[in-house]
Amino acid sequence: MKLAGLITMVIGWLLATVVALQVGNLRGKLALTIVGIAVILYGLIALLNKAHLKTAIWKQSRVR
Amino acid sequence: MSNPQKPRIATAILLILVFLTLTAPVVWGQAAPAPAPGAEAKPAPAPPPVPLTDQDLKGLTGPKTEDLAKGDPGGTLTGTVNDVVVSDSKKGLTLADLVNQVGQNRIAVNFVWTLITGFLVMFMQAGFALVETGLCRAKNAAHTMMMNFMVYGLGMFAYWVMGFALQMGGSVGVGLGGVNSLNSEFTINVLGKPWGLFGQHGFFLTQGGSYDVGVMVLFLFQMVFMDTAATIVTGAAAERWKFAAFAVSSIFLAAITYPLFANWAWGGGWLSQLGKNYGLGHGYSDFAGSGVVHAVGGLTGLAVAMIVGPRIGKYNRDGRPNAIPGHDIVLVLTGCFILAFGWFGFNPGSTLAASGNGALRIGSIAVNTMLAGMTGSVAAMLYMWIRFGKPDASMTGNGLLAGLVAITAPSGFVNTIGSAIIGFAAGFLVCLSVEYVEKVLKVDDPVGAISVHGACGLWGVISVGLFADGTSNYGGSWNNVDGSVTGLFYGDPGQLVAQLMGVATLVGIVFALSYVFNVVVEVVVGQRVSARSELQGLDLPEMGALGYPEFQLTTSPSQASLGV
Repeated sequence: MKLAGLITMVIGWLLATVVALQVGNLRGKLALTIVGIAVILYGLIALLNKAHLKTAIWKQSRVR
Repeated sequence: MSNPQKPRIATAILLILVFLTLTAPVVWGQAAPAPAPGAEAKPAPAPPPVPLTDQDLKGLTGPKTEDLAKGDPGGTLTGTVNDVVVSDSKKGLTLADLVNQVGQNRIAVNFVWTLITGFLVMFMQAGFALVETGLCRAKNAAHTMMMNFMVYGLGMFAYWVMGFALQMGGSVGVGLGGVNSLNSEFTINVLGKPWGLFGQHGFFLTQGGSYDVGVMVLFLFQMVFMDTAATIVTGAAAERWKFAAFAVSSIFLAAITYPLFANWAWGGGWLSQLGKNYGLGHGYSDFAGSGVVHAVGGLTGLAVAMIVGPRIGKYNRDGRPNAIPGHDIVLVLTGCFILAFGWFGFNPGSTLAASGNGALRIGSIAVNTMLAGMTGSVAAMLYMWIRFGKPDASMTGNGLLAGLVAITAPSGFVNTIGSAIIGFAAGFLVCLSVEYVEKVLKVDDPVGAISVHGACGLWGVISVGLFADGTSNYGGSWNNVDGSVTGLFYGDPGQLVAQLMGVATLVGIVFALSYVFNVVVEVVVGQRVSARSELQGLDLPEMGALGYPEFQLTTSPSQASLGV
């Protein structure tokens, strides 16, 4: 899950930059960049952070 | 037929001559007398320009030795032709000497400006130390102070060894004179365009011809910026971060993460060339580092805080957060003032010059900085007052910092209205973000560093693409694109796209890189202290000495109920 989050973030970055830069018109670039940022945030919040919350310290019965 | 005008003109000219003769000692050199009404003197043909030669300088003499021996209380005898350095005493003063002196004076002004503003930024470390320590509990005071203290030394070491070279090793032409040796950028070809990735000159400040006076000034200024980013992380992970893990993590940030993004933005790397290569405004533009410094620090803080996990007692079993107040609001607000003071080095100093190439905009940059800090603090105070009934002191301090963080990137490109709006929005944003990070992400950030520096840093980057008014002129071009940086509201939507690509790179690459490295640190060193150490307070277990040894520390009833 954590790895999936990281991979999603990198894919989002590729969309927002490398792919967007190949689009001819400015509106297309803007749209792809925003979509890319949304994908990055999804990877960060919905995948990576959620994976961390699954093993959060307050959910553990005993802390080390 | 005689012309009746002629006697009048002659009379007028005569009167003017008499007036000039009588008043010459008083008026000459102060203001030209206004021409008499009706006088129509024919302008004399301009003499052909006579080139100045060394011979013309022979007659120039300064104050006499006997006059100088009497002292110079009025300052009129000091700083004359006597003080111009002569290259050959037999030849005397030459034109070449004069021109060289002018050039050196300009560079000297820029050196002194950049160094002094760098010293101000260095002092911000004290501000960060006070803010973070004040917002933590007294039982962790020595540990928090020590992290803020040693991030300076550890970070500087790594940056001297390799960080500076990676960042600025290919950044030729920064306007400090010299620094021509920083001219080697590692570049790859991405779909037909060159992408600069990192510099290759300047390791140990000796390699590649970097033993240079201009390079030294640039290093000092850039080093204290990097250190600001590194010290932000210590706040987000405070009160449970193992000191050894902090040390390794800080070295990595100073050596790799920060320099890489700083190269892409400031060192001639690919983000800065988005304008030249792809026609996106003036490329990613971050005047003083909302993105390069603050977002890098804030996002690295987020990565570390996620890996380290929240403090014991921060969240109940059902995931509801508890407030864990800091121990000294006096330290917090004093630290905020120190930071606001240091910010006058951060933003105006980022011109790297006070003379030439539009650097006189430093006045505007300083005022923008003041205004955004002011509106940020007012907005945060109002938000807390309206929402919770009291003007919370620590959040008001964070509002000031949020406004300053947000104006850092646009400070050199926007007007005062823009800066006030940017700061005001940041003041609200930091309050919303603190709640979001705490309640939704459930990431424990004791000092609000992720929100102040991460969220508001990203807002600052975006605001360049909105509010840059196209009036700045730093030598006629920016990032190899002619003209001034201009945002969406002033007619250039391409600039906004470049800024958003910077945001995507910060969150998508810088965060991911920091996260992966800190996972490695977690596996090898371990990021978190033991629960026993955390409950006891980190001062003794981690530092071996208490921050407040002569005080009896007690736990407040509300915290005692949380077991912290």
